[in-house]
Amino acid sequence: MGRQRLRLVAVLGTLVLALAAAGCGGDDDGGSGGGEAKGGGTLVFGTSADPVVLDGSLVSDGESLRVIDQIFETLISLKPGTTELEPALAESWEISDDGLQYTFKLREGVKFHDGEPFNAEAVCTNFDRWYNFKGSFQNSSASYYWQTVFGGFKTPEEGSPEDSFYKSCEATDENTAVLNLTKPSSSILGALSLTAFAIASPKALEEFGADEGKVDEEGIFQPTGSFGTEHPVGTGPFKFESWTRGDRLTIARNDDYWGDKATLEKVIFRPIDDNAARLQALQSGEIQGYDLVEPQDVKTIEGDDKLQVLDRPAFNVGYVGFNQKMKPLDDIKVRQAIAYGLNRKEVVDEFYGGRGEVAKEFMPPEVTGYADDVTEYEFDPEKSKELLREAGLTPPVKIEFWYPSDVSRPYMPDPKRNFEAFSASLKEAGFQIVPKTAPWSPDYLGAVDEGKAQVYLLGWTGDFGDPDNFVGTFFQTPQKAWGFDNKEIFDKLNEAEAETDLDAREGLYQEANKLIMDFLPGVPYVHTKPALAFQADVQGYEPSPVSLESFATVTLGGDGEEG
Amino acid sequence: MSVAELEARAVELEAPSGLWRDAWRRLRGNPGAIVGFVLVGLFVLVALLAPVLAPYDPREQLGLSNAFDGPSTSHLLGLDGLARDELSRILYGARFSLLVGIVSVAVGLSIGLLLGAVAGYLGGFVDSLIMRAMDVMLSIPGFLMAIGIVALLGPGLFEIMVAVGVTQIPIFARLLRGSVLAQRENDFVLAARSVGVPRRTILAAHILPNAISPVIVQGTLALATAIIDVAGLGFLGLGPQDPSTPEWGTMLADVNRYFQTGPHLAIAPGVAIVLSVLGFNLIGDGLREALDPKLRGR
Repeated sequence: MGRQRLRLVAVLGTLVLALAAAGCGGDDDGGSGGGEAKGGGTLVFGTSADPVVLDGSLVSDGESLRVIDQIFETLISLKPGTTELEPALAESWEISDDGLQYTFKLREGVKFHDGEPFNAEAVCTNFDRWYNFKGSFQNSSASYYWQTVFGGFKTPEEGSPEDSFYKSCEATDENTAVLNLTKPSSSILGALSLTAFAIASPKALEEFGADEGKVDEEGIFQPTGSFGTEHPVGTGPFKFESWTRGDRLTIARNDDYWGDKATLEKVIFRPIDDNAARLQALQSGEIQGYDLVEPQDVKTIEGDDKLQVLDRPAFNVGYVGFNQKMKPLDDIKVRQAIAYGLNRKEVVDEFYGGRGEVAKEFMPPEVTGYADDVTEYEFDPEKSKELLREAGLTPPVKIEFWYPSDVSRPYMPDPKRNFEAFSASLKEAGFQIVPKTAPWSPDYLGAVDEGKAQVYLLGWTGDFGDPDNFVGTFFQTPQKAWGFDNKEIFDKLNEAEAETDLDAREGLYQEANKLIMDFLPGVPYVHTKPALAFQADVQGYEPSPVSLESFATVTLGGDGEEG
Repeated sequence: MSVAELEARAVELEAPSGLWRDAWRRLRGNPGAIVGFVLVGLFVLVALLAPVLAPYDPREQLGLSNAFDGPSTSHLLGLDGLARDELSRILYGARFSLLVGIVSVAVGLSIGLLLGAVAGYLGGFVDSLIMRAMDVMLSIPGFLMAIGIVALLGPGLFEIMVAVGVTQIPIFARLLRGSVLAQRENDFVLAARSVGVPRRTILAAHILPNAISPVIVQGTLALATAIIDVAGLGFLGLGPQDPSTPEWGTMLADVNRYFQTGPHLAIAPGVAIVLSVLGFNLIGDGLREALDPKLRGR
């Protein structure tokens, strides 16, 4: 199942979360009244595709989340640019000693865009809606976040998880919502900052048929109601205005917002699927910004003083995976030989436009539990050959090496190029490479998930700042893609996930990371900093490691902006 | 003179010229065809001599930090995105294109010829069966069918050759069938039949040699199509499994995303594809004119 998550997130991109400009940041920002009227204007943002549907509970693709984050809010959010929790719709919360009861004190005086009051009743209606998803809504791609965080549903369909962490939600008074769990979990709070758990207006959910429609086999929600396409009603700093598929989606400032109001009057999201075309649109001023700039374009943009590049902190990992079910990878010496035979530094230095750092473990340094003293494997082809001989093999040793075609991910903008460079260095290290390739989805991911790929290129972008979201995803249970069964690692990760003391937890994850890098189920090679590009006069956009970014803080510097 | 004598002389007069000699004479007089021959000659020469001509190993990465270097004296066409010598890759690419072109045309031609000849000569039910099948194949655009076949078989050198070859089968089959039909009722065939020559011999010795000329024209044109198709498959990511294989279409596709970084890399493979295809097309056109009976004697 972890693999399933990997597929999903990897395919669809990073998570974006609604971040009410709100929070603490706003307090020292002077009077909100002044800023509000002065800036104004419209910002046009180039996206790679249309959102699927504007309902956070049923999507996980970056383009949907990006827009949903502006319209909806969650109980708990993250401080801009970090993975630290901060209050959002919930002003404070308490956790019972047994870890089974979460009491949220809700912010007062908040209204949904349709004028309905935000209260405990509304919160519980949303939780109950998710818990009661039926039929195709239980598709693990559609309601992926619910299943990852809370497990199963009230009436599980065949193939859905049986157990659920979720027990019930009670509105004990107007502004107090109590969330009851069946067992304690250390990652619930962090997870509540996910867009999937954003609170929508119960009236709009009902009136516009949010639950009408079907999730198709690919996990794409095909709505027949109009909630997610024409009437997404939340509490966020922007309101939905209009959406012409393939052309533009417009959101407008919510003047009744409870926190610091947005400066921009409107934000228009325009889908431009070709990366080169997005760059040109930015250069020509047709759009004022876009996401996921290709590494090779960064220099071009930096060289233009009308444009600017913003960095997102590294929150991903690119790795070479091994399937230990396929000999001779069951031999640790052979895995080490591959690790020593991959010229990771050269690839990272040359192919990532200065935006990558060589990875030494399966999570980025920003995540708690990162261990500084794991075993490292510097490029050393002679040592590889020696290890192969020690393993009783005669170089060249034949291995099947898989890479995906037609895909670009933040951690591997051009998989084929990585593959070719790695192949060359592995050849030097005494391997004979049998190249294998397939289109990314579903063929390639399918082959990897089914355990058909021996050595393969893959990666992962984090959803939220928790180590469980990285190593837990990969190595907590036996998976076909890795093909190993190492009780020591599984136990360590289970122990770490259940541990609620933060320091102890960090220590456990560090130990797990050391175990993993000794056992070497794969070789992580890169963490990248994805880049965003904007016109130079766009200010106030704060890139977040988990792509939780708000347009509410954005201002347009110059005057006479074009619409 | 008797009638017999008159006819005999006419036969004598025609004999020394002959179809092939005639065609050759006309071909030599066609400047387009000459250019075609030069281009194709170069192409074949490069393909055969690639190991001698190429200054570097086309798969060797000469230091990734040099990737995308522009043309220089040591690398006439610059380095590609993995710091491999572009010129060497183009030269070796000719090899690949020629090989795939010839093999796939051979596949299409042999199967197509067989089916066409059988259909044309036997006629009746067999003819209908084969030709309807060919019509079905023709109804699918050739390149689309090639993509389908590669998708089915999986990308790879052999698979590409089969895919491109298969798309050529119906063209050859139809062509030959038409030609055979035209020959079948000729007097010399009737004469052979009347003296009891076996059908197989008639087909092989009398009909095919006379029906073959349009096939030769089509064959050279098919080579051009094959090269384009192979490059097209490569461009769409259905090229050889090993991505380090120097294949023009794949090389072109690879530059696609680095166009702002290394524009010089788009020119070389593009020009190579154009020139080789142009060469075969010019020869094909020349041959068509040379072998067309309607144009004969002009």
